[in-house]
This record gives sequence, structure tokens and C-alpha cells, in this order.
Amino acid sequence: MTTAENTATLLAPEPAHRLDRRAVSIWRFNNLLFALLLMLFVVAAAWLMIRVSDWDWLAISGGGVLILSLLLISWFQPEFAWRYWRFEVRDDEIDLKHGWLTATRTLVPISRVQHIDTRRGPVERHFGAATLVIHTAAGTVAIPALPEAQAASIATRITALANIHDDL
Amino acid sequence: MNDSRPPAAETVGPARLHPVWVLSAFANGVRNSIALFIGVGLSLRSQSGLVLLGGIAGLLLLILGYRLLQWLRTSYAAADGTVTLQTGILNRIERVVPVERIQNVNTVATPIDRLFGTLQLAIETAGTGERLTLETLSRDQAAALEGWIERQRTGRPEAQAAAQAGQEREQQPGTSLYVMSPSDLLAAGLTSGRVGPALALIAAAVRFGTDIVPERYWERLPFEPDDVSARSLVILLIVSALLAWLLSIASAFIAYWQFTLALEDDALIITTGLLDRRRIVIPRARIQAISMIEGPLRQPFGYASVMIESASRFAGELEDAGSQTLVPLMRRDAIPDLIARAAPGYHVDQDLTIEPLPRRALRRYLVASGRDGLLIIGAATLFFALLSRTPWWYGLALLPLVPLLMLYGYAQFRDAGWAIDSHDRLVVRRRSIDRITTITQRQRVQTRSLSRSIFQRRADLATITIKLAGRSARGTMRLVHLDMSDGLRIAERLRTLPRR
Repeated sequence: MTTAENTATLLAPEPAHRLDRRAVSIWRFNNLLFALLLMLFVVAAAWLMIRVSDWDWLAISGGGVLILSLLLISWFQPEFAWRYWRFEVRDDEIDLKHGWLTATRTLVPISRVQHIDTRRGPVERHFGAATLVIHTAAGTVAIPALPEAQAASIATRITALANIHDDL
Repeated sequence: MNDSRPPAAETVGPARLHPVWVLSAFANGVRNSIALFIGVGLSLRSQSGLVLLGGIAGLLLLILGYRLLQWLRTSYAAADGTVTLQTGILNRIERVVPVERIQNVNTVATPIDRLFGTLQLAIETAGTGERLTLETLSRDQAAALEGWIERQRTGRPEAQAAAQAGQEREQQPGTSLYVMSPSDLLAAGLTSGRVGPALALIAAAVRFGTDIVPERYWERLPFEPDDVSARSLVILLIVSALLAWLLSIASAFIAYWQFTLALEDDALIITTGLLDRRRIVIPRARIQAISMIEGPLRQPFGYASVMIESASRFAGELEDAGSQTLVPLMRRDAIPDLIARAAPGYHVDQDLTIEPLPRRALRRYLVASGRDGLLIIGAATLFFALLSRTPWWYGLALLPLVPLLMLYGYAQFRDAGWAIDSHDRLVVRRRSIDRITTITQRQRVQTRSLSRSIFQRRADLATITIKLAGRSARGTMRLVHLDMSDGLRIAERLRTLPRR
């Protein structure tokens, strides 16, 4: 059993659903915000280099390349991340798959779910989306950028399946 | 949940802690305010001896008075299915722990406690990881509270009857599973890898020494501290290694003095410790995994220690929450028998063989460890190049590190492996510094992930990560570069069966 075809039957088929397209916008916004912060550092470092050394050309070209690649990565990374994200909530398991360079498939049995958080940051709120954070005794997994209604319905479904007692 | 609780009328307390608490808290307070004492001493230095004495006595009285007030305002009670601790002189703090949340009750006896026959009760709770510590109770108080918790938890008439005969049960030590012999203790100390904390202690001592000891004493040392010559560095290294080793022996003696493991009702009871006598209760149902740890100094002689992972975040020793030493040192071939008696659910089939990693994974282990070595050398070279006083090629002296690290990479490859037995018990073996073999049950698996980098995809390899409840490092079982189909097979075998 070495080929993928033989082993495909072992584990359930790959998770079916893609994330909402809004995920791309949300990630892009977050990335650009972070890139802006890094760019400040790059500019500061380049300025310092120009002041103290004679290597102006290196400071300018190096800084330029860094800033350009930061912008490019921030812009295109969400597209790839979205393309490789899959999730599915089955009756017995939550199945996630994500990652482009390193693809990770995570399986969480529904019976292991302790509780579920719905998290909405300011950016997500703007796009009407929410992140579902699923807690188990071994940590958390998250499904990001779900439309609010879908997030609520998935949370309800998992809660019902896991038979979690609503303490609060 | 079992609702057949005993009559609600039964309560314990409210009661104060044992008066000895004032004494140990006073001692703690004095120890914590050593700096304050030094400050008072220094500022009153020029005054007469009487004033100095008065100042120090006043400070001592202040601490004593504060502790006395604290003691008067501290009380605990057990009623209505909860254990309550009230503390605080002005700001009253009330901590309430529902009985259903209590996971286990451990006891600790500090040297002062042992002098006066008192105990500390640490009530561990599930999930939230809160801990309620009742410092200094008399043995009767502790027994009464433990008995109450036991009765509330089980709620069965026979358990009540058993608890009423609690005194007798206290004397009954249960089935003894392991008693550490003095020679084992010595061997454990000599081979324990507890060098890390010892080294940290030495580093702190050295810093303290350089800060406190006046310059002129340093001048009398056999070497000049300013001139860090190769010779003095080597001497320093050897001396600290020796010291670290001695300290590690001492720390093993302190931790594992008269270590015993026993089975009582359905819980493993560990008693251990030279200074603080600890009694740790691990209900067998809470066990998540059992690990056999073969340190580099132990593996060649066929010895290992056994650790247990339990879901509680605090049940363990200080080093690793949720982890607890089950046996500090034992012959490797005696361990399966011990597991069979201590936790039969984790006793794997006798003929089980560990499945090694595929041959093509070896290259990746060697490349990864070699790359780490080169990175270290690169960083060192850069460091020496930037340090104008040293020639850059000093960094190359670290070159022998590369084959050494690659050897380590080979060891990691050779020792890594997995197995699943007929009862779906998973065994994962891997090497960090120690060789660690962890056994868990399918029912204990929380999440499982398979991940593949682009390089792994090309070679049809994968990394599997099995997470168990809790936060301890050994609660995460990870195998890097196993065959992809094996990874899928493991993930499939560990699927939680549908509930009926």
C-alpha cells in the first residue's frame, strides 16, 4: 500500500467545503496591516544604513526589494491559503485541511469537543464573518471567516452532536 | 451524573486551618523579606545595637501579626456539594470548588508539617485547571475533608460505609507496586538527566557571586576573570559540569527519597520526597498515556524511568504539568509487568514489534541535522567576524558539531517508530535526548493530524501528530517522516467509534 489511490479508501474522503471568499479579503487586510508595520522597520533600517555607511544603493535597493516582496506576499498569500483550505463537519468528526507548502489535515472527533467559541474581530465584523474556535481537552482548532449565519448553524450542529450541556 | 447524593445535612467546617499555619507562614514571610531585613539593617547600621535589634524585632512582630490576622480570617468549609475557602484580611476572597469538578486530592507535608504532624491538601480540579490548596491541616481535619469529598463524589452507600471506616482505610496501604531501594535511588541520582535545573542554579550562583563577592577575592583566583583564556574556560566548564552532576544527584535524592507506588481502590498512590513529603493520587481513569523514558546514561545499562500523563494540569511535578513520575528507575524488561499491574489498560500485546520509519526518511533526518549544524556554525562565524578582536575563523572550530549532529539525526531516525496492538493501543517511540516510548489508548486520542511539506509529498512521507488531553509535552505524540500510507492507517485506526 504505497500509492495514494490504495490508501484513499482508508480515511474518509477529503473535506468538501471551501471557505467563504470573504476569507481572502479578511486575510489580505490583516496581512497588509502587518506588512505596513514591518515596512516601517525596513524604512527605518534603510535610513539608518544611509546615515552611517556609504552603501546608499544597497540600502535603497535592498529596502525596495523587501517592501515589494512584503506587498506581493501579503496580496497573494491569502489567495493560496484559501485555495488549499477545506473543511467539513461530519456526524462523527470535524475534518480540516489547509496549507499550501505544508498541507495539514486535522481530524477532531465530535465527541471530543468541549465547547465552541465564535470569535469576531473588527475586520471580520466588517465583512460579516466569524471564526469558529473549537476547544478540545488538547487545545483548539479554528475554522475562519465563516458567514455569521453559517458559523452559528455549525456551532449549533456540533453542540447538538457532541451533546454539550449548555452551562452558561 | 449520579444524583443519589448522601443527605445534604452532612457538612465539614467552617473551620480554621491548623494554628501551625501561622508558624510556617511566618517563616515564609521572613524568608521572602530577607531583602527588607538587610535594608533595615543597613539603614540602622550607624545607630546603637539596641536600635538595630528593636528595628528587626519590630519587623518580625509585624510579619507575625500579619500572619496571625491572616490565619484568623481564613476558613474553609465543605457543604452543599462545594468546598469553600475564604481568605483575606480586608478584601475577602471566597473560592468555591464544586465537588463534581474535583479531580483528585493530593497531600504535601513540608518539614514543618512533619514536625507538627500536619498536612497540606491540594484539591485539583478538572478542565479549568484551578487548584485549591489548604495549607496546614491536622491529620484529622484532612481525613475528614477527604472523606467528605470521597462520599460526595461516589454517593454510594457502600462507599459511605467504607468512608466511615476511614481511619482503618488510612492505615491500609493498598497493594504495593514498587518501593525504591537505596541502591536504585543512588543509581537514579547518578544517571538522572536533571542537569538542566542544576546548571541554571549554578549560573545564578555565579551571577550572584560576581555581584556580591568583592573584587579583591577574584584577584586571588587561579585565573584572571578578565582574560577568558581557553584553559580557564575549560576548567570552568569541567567544574560546573561536576557541580551540576552533584546537584542533580542531590535533587534526585530530594525528589525520590523513599519513593513508593501503590494501588488503592482504583487509584495509583505515590508517596515521595525527602524535605516535602508528597502524596499524589492519580485515579486510573484519568491516565492518558504512559511513557518509558530511557536517558542516554540509562539506556546502555537497560534502565529506564516511567512517566504517566494525566489530564490534570497540576497533578504532576513542577517540571511538566500533568506529567508524573511513576517509577524513577527500573530495569527496562520489568516495565511491561509493572504497567500490567499499575494500569492494565496500557499493557500492550507481548509480541508487538515497533514499525520503523521507511529507509528514505533517513536522508531527510541527516540533511535536517546537518543543516542545523551548519546554521549554528554560520551564526558563530558571523558573531566572531563582528567581534573585531577575534578572527572570524574561530567559528570553524565548531565544525565537528556537524557530524555529531548528523549522528544524532541518525539516532533519531533509528529510534523513531510506531505500533498499534490488537486493542487499538498506540505505541510511538522517538528520541529527543532521551528515547521516549509512549503508549496510549484509542479512547484517549483527542485530535490527530497528518501534515506534509512539499518535500515530504515528493517522497510520499508525512508527519503525524496525535494530541492527548492536557498540556504536557509528552501528551503530544509526533512522528516525523513516516510513510504516508502508514500515517493514514494510524489516523484511521484511531478513529473514535460512534457512540450508541
